[in-house]
Amino acid sequence: MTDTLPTEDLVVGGNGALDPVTFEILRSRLSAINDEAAMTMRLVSGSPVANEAYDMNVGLMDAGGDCFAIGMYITIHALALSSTVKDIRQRFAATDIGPGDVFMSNDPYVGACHQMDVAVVAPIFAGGELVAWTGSTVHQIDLGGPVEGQVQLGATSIWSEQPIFPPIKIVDAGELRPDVERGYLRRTRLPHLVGLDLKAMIAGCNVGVARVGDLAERYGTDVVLAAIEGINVATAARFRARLRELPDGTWSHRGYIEYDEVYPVVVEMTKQGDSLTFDFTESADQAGAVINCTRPACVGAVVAAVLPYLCYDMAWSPAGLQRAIEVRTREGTVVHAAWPAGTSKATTTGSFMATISAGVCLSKLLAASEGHLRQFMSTWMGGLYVEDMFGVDQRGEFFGAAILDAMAGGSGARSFADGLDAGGFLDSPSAIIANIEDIEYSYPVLYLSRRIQPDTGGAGKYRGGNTLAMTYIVHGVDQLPTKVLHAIGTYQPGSIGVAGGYPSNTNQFVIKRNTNVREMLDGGAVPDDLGDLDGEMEIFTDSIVKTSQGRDDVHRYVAMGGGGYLDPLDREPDRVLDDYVVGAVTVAHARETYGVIIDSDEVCVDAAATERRRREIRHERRRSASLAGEPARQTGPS
Amino acid sequence: MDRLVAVDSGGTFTDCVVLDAAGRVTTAKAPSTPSDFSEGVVQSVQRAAVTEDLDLGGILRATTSFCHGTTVATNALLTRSGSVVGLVTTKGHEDAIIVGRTIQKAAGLTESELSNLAQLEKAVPVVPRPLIRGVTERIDYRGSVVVPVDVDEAARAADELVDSGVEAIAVCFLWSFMNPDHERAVAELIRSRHPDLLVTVSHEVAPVIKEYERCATTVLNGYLSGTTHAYISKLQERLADGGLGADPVIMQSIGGVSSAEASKGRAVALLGSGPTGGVFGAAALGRLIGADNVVTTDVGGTSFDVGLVVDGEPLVVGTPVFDKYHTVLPVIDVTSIGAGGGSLAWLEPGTGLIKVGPQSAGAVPGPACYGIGGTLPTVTDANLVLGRLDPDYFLGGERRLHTDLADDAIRTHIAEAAGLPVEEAAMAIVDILDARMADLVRTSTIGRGYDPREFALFAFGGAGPLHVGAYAADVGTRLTVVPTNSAVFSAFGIAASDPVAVVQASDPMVAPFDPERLEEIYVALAAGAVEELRANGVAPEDITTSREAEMRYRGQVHEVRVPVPDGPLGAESLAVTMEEFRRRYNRRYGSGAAADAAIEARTFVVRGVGRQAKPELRPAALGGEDPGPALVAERQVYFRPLGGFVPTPIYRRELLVPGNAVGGHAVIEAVDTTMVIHPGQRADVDAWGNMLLDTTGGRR
Repeated sequence: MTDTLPTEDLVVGGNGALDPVTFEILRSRLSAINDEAAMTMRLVSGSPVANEAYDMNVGLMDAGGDCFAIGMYITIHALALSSTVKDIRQRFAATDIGPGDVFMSNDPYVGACHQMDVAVVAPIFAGGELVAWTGSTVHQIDLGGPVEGQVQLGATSIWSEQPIFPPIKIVDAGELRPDVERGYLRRTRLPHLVGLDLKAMIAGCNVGVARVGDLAERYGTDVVLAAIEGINVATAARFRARLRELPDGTWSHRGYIEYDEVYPVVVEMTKQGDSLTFDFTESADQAGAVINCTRPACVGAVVAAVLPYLCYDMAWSPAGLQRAIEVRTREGTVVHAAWPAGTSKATTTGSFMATISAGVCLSKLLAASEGHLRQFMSTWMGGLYVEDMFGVDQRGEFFGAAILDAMAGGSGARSFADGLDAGGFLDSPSAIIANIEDIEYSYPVLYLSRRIQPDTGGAGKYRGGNTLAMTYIVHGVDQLPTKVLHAIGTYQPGSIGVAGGYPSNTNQFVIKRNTNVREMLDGGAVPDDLGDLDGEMEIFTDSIVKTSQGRDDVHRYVAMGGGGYLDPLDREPDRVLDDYVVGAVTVAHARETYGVIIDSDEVCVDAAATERRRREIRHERRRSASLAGEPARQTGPS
Repeated sequence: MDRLVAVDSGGTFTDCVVLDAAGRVTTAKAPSTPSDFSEGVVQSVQRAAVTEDLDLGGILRATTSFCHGTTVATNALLTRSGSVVGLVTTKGHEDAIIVGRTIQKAAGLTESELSNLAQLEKAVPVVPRPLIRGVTERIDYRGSVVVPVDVDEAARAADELVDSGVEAIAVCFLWSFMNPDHERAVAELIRSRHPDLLVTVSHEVAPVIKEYERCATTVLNGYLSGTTHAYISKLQERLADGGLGADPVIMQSIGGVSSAEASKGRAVALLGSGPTGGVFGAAALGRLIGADNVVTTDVGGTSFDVGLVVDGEPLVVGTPVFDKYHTVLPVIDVTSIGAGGGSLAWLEPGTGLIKVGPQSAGAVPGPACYGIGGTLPTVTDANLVLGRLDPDYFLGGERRLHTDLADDAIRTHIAEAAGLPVEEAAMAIVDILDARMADLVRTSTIGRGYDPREFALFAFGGAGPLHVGAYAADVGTRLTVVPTNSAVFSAFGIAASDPVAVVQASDPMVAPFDPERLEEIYVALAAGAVEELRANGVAPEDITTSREAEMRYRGQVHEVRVPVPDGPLGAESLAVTMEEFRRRYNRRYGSGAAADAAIEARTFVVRGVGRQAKPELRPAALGGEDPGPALVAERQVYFRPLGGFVPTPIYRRELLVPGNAVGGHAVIEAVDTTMVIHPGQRADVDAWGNMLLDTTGGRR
């Protein structure tokens, strides 16, 4: 059976106007236009959020709002644009949507991932006909609400989080509405930054409007419409073909969000023929605020997992995929919030865990496929740690900043190689962490270390990537008065292992208070780790902490590694030794988890002791398994 | 007679251009010889000599200036055949070069490569982790010492590295550009203990804020210097033996040349200098013909390279990527995609759509029509089937092309499955490639904040003139130029280059700036640039220096390079600089973008140039428009707007004279390239022999 798509399938609504070559050219052109929109937005914005963390995206939607092209940035944003357009189509009279209009919204119940991710969308007209939509979104640092930044600690519903607004016209027939702009900027603590990002998002939309308009003029509206529909049809065909290449079955995962209690995110994924269903209905009931995500965000989160796992060799066109994917949710859960549940931190809680959980199921599907095993990835960094800092900097000015070093998480183990150390995170492959010199120049801190932390990646025949640990002190000021530290995966590793692979570490943050760090530095020594210092350890067990840091306090955090693949006892002892040599695995971890005994003086493996140790671990496993279930038939080493 | 010789070694060919004092030009091509690149260099000069009825010695003895662009450093990096290098860095920060700001896995990748996450890899380390040593020391952002350097620990680290067999040591400490004392102390110590070792130090190589990029730059310099040193020495020897009296000068990736000796110690500055000659040449040609803003497009066998000239100067990028390492050396900014004559055409599984590239057939097995083993269809095969290439006049007839093999390849792999006649499948391949090229021209200009329609477009490289009529029309540039000798244009650019010394240093500060402090910085930088040029043998009176600053709005990431007036600086000249910053920022990033934020100046640059007398190209008098005497044949060439194959006039490039005008449809053939004039387009030969193509009259 051939998977070749009959050409006539591509010619939809175009009166046969579209040949395959023109289609290929237009497909590439539409994707280039979307890139241009993203570049324009980044250039105008200039913010580290849009240019280094890449917490942004752009998308092109068809006239109905289905997203057929997205940028290589945070995937989930693009789906939010799609939901926002669909809402506008429903709520606004057709006569109220005209050329030169631009709409904006931050309403999660309409489409925004959370209130911080403002969606800006614009209709594209050609010859008086609505042919498509373009949209952009950038994460905002502050949009008001009782607490600085995104995490509305103490909120009990969406009413005690950032103000929300459903779609509203910000540009009317080419004219910016100053009243709407003023009202929007009135609510933020950072009107300058937020204002600039608004301009940037509008500029991104303008590129899409102008260039798709040109295209329609040059090739004809019918041809462009046919190409857009063709992209959806072609992607759906390729994606269904991909599904047919994969084994049928059901896979499940249970992830956790720590907050006032632990909220499981439960997903069961069924792949049958050329359809794929994700069932989240067993997930925990929603919390009052902060950690929930809405249904559109959950659907986006699933697509954000499907694209990197299954669409590695095709154009990323979500609408085409969505024709073959079903997402079942239950209203009133952490992944399908019911009004008026709050969602202020959704992208690092509800929707983040939905992506991770869907990803785990997909990785198991790939692990079961001979043909696509090479694309298998165990979980990438399953919980993102973020630190929001506010205070007065070394120049005496008020500042607010997000420290995002934890984006350098470990990537998941593969079927042929380890995950990447400090490999990043799945949903934003281009993300960049800041240089320490840039951080220290801008903010009153001094890093004692930022190193790859051994043993943080999940063990396995192929291990997960290790992540970073860093320590810093305040510098040039007496204190950092406000630090909001937040993460998931503080009780339970988010990066689980697959097929016998082990999970990663957890996110860990501690402050050692009242240390002798200043004396040490004055005495000409730099502490290697907290153990070198006197002082009191404050170990945070909550997933969200608001605290401060004084002159003699040392802050340390460890981000999250990636998950492992296959049993670590099957890893070649020499490869464990190699890991030891480069500092990726410690002697103790090699012994305990890999069962490999390393002679650190001779830098070699003790083969006989390794053999014994591995036997011992296997025996121990049988013994503990028998405690949990049937009595073991054997009681001693064989 | 005095001659200037420029030789550009590329991956496939080594190009040679010889200019004599009368401005007469001789060109030659020889295959590149990666096992010993100097062989190809000598071969290309020898071939040029033959054209002039001379032998190698004859031409070398008459040469007063020998300029060379080499890929030896790039090649050593790509094949990881550099020296064993160790790194001494700040304790606690040993992993910075491995972490690579986490972008390392994605640096320099295309979107489709990036979407294949399971196959992403970080750089193959040029310095393995066991050869990285942390040393106790710490300097803060002001340059104040927080913890003095522990020299005993540094000595132990160096000794251990030497015991482990390193051939070079790189030293990079945090904030060393603000206070180099610690790096200096450690470098001196290592040099005194191990006098034969190459020691490369970050505040000397790239004293610029951004510790990862600075560290990578320093380590790469250590890694590449051994190979580069050996190569340049060998070349010097061969050329001197051949009779060359002058010392060769080497093309730098910033554009401009530097002495052989200086280049041996700063190998990292040669990385990526390959496409630089073309962009630099385009700037020079632009000045000649009055085009200040130019998009350069270089189409070879495997890649399509796009560069920009803005206001007469090649656009520079401050943090170029080399094989996944971000560095912090200013280089001429060139974007590249896998698209060229050798690009393979294929059908996408699942949809059956035609795709072109990025994979290439390369020189071996090559396009199907070469008949040397390639069976998959390439762009060159498509051009042959369409009648655009003459099977008997490829490389002047040196390589015979097989139309039947090209036809077979396209029929078997594309046409039959797609249900198209062979010529339509071939046209589809070319159309798709042309569209991708147009897309790259747009994204690489828009992405840098410019509108390509306000630029002239220059096309060169072996396959540039074949495709430019289509992609230039698509982009909508106002003037399209195919330079004379376009197939060796890069070597021309090298010939046009003057000695250059670019000296930079970071010292981040927030406005209002102190003019005296800035003046001090610039005077010190200028002294360094002048000293370097003088050491390269440039006479003091030939040296000019210019100042630049990298500035940005506080809280923003975009750095803009702004010219700074010559000193002494005062409040007034700084006000001019700030205004120029705002103007440039607004031009690139949109008006009023960040006007309220404070302005920061971070990195200061002095560019020293040693003006050298060059043989001048002389304009010829324009003759009549009629190209009739250059008409050599007529053959069937496929043009879709004309309904398929039509009889098409074929002109010989060498026979066209200034003033001639060729109207489309037509094909113009030279020994090393072929130019297609589409219906409605028109090409005029200007006084310097360039083809000025007007694409506004016709589209594909």
